[in-house]
Amino acid sequence: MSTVYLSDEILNSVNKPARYTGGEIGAVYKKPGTYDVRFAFCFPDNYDVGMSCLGLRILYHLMNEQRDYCYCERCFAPWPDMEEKMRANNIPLFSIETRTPINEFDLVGFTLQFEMSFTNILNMLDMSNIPMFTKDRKYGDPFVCAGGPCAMNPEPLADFVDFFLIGEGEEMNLEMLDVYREWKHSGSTDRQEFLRMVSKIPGVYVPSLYDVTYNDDGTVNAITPVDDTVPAKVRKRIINDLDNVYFPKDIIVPLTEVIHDRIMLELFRGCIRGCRFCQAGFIYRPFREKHADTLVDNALTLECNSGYEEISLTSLSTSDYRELEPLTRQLVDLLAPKKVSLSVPSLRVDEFPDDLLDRIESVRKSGLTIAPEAGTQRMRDVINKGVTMEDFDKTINIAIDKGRDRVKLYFMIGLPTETMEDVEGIAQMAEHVVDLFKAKNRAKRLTVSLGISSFVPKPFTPFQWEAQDSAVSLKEKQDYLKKRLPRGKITLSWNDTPTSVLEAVFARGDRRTGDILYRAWQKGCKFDSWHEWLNLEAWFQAIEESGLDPKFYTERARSTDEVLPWSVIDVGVTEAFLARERDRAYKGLITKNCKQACNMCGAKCFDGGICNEH
Amino acid sequence: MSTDKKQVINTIQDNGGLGCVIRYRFVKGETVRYISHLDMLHTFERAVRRAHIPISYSRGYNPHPSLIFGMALSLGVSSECEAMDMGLAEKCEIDVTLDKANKALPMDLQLLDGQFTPPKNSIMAAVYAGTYALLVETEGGTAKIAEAINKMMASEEVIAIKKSKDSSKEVNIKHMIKGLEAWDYTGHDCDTRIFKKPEHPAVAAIADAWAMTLDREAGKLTVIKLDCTMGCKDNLRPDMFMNALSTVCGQDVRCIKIHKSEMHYN
Repeated sequence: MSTVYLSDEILNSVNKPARYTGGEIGAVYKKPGTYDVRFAFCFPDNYDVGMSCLGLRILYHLMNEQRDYCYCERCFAPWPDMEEKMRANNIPLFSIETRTPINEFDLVGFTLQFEMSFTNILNMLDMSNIPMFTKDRKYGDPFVCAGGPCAMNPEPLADFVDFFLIGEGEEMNLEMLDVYREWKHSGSTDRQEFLRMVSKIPGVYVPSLYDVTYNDDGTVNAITPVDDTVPAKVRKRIINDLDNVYFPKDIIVPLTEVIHDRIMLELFRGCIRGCRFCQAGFIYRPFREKHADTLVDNALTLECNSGYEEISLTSLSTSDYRELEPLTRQLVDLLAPKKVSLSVPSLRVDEFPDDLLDRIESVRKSGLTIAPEAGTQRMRDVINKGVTMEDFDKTINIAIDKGRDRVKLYFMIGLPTETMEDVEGIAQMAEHVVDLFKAKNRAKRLTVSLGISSFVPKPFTPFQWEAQDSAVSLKEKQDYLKKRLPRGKITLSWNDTPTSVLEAVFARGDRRTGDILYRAWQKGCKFDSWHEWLNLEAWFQAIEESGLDPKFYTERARSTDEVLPWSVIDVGVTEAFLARERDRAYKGLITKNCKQACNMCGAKCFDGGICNEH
Repeated sequence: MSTDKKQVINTIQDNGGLGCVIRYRFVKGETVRYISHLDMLHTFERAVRRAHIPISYSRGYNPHPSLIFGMALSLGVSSECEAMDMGLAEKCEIDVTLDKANKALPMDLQLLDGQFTPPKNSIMAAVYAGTYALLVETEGGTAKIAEAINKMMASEEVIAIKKSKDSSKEVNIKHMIKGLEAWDYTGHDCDTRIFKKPEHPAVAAIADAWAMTLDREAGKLTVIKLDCTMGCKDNLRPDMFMNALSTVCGQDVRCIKIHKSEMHYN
């Protein structure tokens, strides 16, 4: 095992050198060289973003604590200024803890949080001198694996990643480490043999063990396992008992500022809502809660061991947590004397006791945030977002009474069936907020900020078959709102249309789209989610050279009998259910949430959580 | 009265005069030398919480823990002589606080010792001088550096360029240089001349990082020991000294490592 030497000259010349120097409280420093399995946990974005990821924080400690033969270290994508220095000085990508070159690890694992980080994975492999394509890797090279939400459609990365871990990792990752150790101890030099072994772990998908054939029109004909020892479908893994699953007693406390620099308490996994545009609402089903007692215990342990001054409750829609009020009350009572504050994002203030509201940091500080997602009731019914104008007004009026003067509203444009009337509805809702403030004579310092994002159809949602709205049409809608809402109390922000288009290509891309990624990377694309690094010209060239038509992936509506590239993955929720939901969307029919009724989505196959309550 | 002073006095008056202020010396070592002054403050705040040390807080809507640091160290510079005043809400034994805090602090950010301090002067104002060790490399090696140092010591004026955000001006730094010495760097043999406490693990890690430069950096390496003024008034920043040195040498002198080994205060 070797160690990378980083001179002060290099560190002094880059932005935020503390991103590369480690040494944090809670970071695991083991002696290198005495471990059977060394795992490099790689995050394909910079340190600030990566250290904000709860999954990384859990799995890092899990592997280090629960398997003493394993040493898991972290690695982040170096910011381009650092990359330039590293390449100029022949410094390979290295781990934070021991500065070991990444290609000396046994396993290299990437977490896939968003599509626009994919080129960073290729770049990190290249900086590590690991052969980019799985087919070129030989005995002695690390195995490259990946997990996280974007692994639900693994196909665009199938040529680069040896195996995927689909679903929740607390059990699966340990099983995988055990199998790797077994293979290593057997003295085998046959990579394929390990891949065969690991493919037997439920939740593990080894793309090289599947053949993909295509129809003449470019759609997938079939995804077939190479033989009958390989599972035809890979079902995602979940943890049913969240009260007894591993949860770290220590967390890494970064020494330099990161984006989410606080304790994150996960109230539950999954979501009862079923908003039809939302991938997270389906891929994490079923809805499973932690008990309030467990959470209080977790909170106090972590507060004690980290010294953090803020705890944030995180989950998809906090207000759906059954014991939210007693939990919040208990937490603020316990934490206030320690001068620790509590944030409760996505809290529905209209359903929450007033005295408690005033004690919640996120409510006190940051004004009010609401995500109606669409501007008319019709459109909201189509997407199954159960917000009515009555709820909305009630919430705004609470904000006014509490003396808030900042309101943030999130909307989407480009949703299926959307017309200009729905876009106009967004403007009207914003104006309506101003009117409500005016009616109470409180509009003087009011600012309403609208965040407008462009809808990207995602796998495993009722809209997975939909055509994405064209770039031209999205631009028109943005321009309409820009003109319609002149600067004043209302401010607008949106994401770049081309980014949404690229995101859409890879969200529903098949194996062939990997070629676009490779070409884009060759042309220098990286950090594509960072406005200052997105190189559209290079992307368009890459697409053109690949010979693929991006519109085939974005603006083409799929028929419900098409073989979807991600159909090799089984998330529990069935295609039949998603198709039913799609029909209901067209009819503008609301579907009840999981607490009100079971809609037979298929997640019951996991035999856990809310599914067992009906 | 400065806010810092007020805070310290509040501390003493808290709890009916039971509070106290302890002035600590600490190491800012290898892995933490790139964290900024503000980030270091946050790191200490969190460590103090983890350690359950009864720190006192400022009054007001947004209470701040009573922690006051000396001069900010330049990014990348290691130190075994940083100073910090901590206000405590009750009387504590220094050794107990040291032990608790060190268990809670990152391995390379460690307290060395402490003493009770009357609240009359803030650490900021008390610092007046100290010592840096600089590891450098230039063509001609130690002989060339020694020649430049002698020239500096003999002349009335040593000009450095002081760069700020939008301007750079020439300043005479001669009155801030109190002593200079140079010798060949040969690795761990030099440790006792460079470091005050080379036996402390966090300092030893800095010494290891210095030693690692030997076969990694090109050229022969020289250690310069620089005694100079520090503090609010005449603070000699090591980067200013380095650019003056290059000027006197008439060639580029590469700075490889900087370590602050001593800091004196009233």
